[in-house]
Amino acid sequence: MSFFSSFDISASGMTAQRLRMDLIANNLANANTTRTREGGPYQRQVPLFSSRDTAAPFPAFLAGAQRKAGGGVRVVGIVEDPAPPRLVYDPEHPDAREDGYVAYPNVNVVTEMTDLIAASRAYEANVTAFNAAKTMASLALDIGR
Amino acid sequence: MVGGKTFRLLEQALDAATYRQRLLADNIANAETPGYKRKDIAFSTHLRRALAGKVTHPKHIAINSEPGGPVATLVQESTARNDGNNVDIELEMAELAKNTLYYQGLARQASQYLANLRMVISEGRR
Repeated sequence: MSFFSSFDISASGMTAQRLRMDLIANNLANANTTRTREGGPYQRQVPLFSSRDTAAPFPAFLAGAQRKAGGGVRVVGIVEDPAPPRLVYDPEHPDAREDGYVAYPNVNVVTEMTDLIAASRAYEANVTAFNAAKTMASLALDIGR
Repeated sequence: MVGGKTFRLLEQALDAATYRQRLLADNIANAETPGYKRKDIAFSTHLRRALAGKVTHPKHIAINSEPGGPVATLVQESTARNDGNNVDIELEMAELAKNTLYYQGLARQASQYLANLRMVISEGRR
């Protein structure tokens, strides 16, 4: 059933965007975190998206090799932004280095907020695609009624 | 009849629209995937292939030719962004809306066809 794989494709997009939003929330929450378990300041995390070939092998096989449509999006990993930390001169800070600078996370709040809006819009686009598939499926059910 | 040419054509068109919906959903899901290229059904080549069938005159259109089913093609030529992704979300949403309406039209036409058959079966009585 092609319709169900269309639902799966849109759902994979929603999952990916939700994970992206979770990471952005985490980045914002840790925008000033100077201590982590690994030591040093928190590092901004970003998701790594990759396109997926087919969601389920059986419907793909049933539809024939010609009907490849891809299976949506997949998060292959979460990577840390390698950008250097933000240095703020504050010798009184308990985590200050010897030269008086404190290494704050490389999180830019403005970037995170714009990313948040982009993720939210991308999520909405997936919802719209999902609803369109649902409308089509219910229209198909009404054929001959 | 139910398995007639009209109905078979409608079936194929509904099938193609379903397939296109999948492609568009995939494009939207991968709107933020680096290096992804949008997929679509190249309608013109498809039409040409469908029309290449049995005709006795070059200006005739073959109605009963069997299209081999839609084929997805990668749209490679345009690169809209730095990450190599060429999904234009506005275009995808517009195509999605169009495709849904197209599907609705086809579904209604199929319903109408069946309603006509039913009327003939009941000899015009309600």
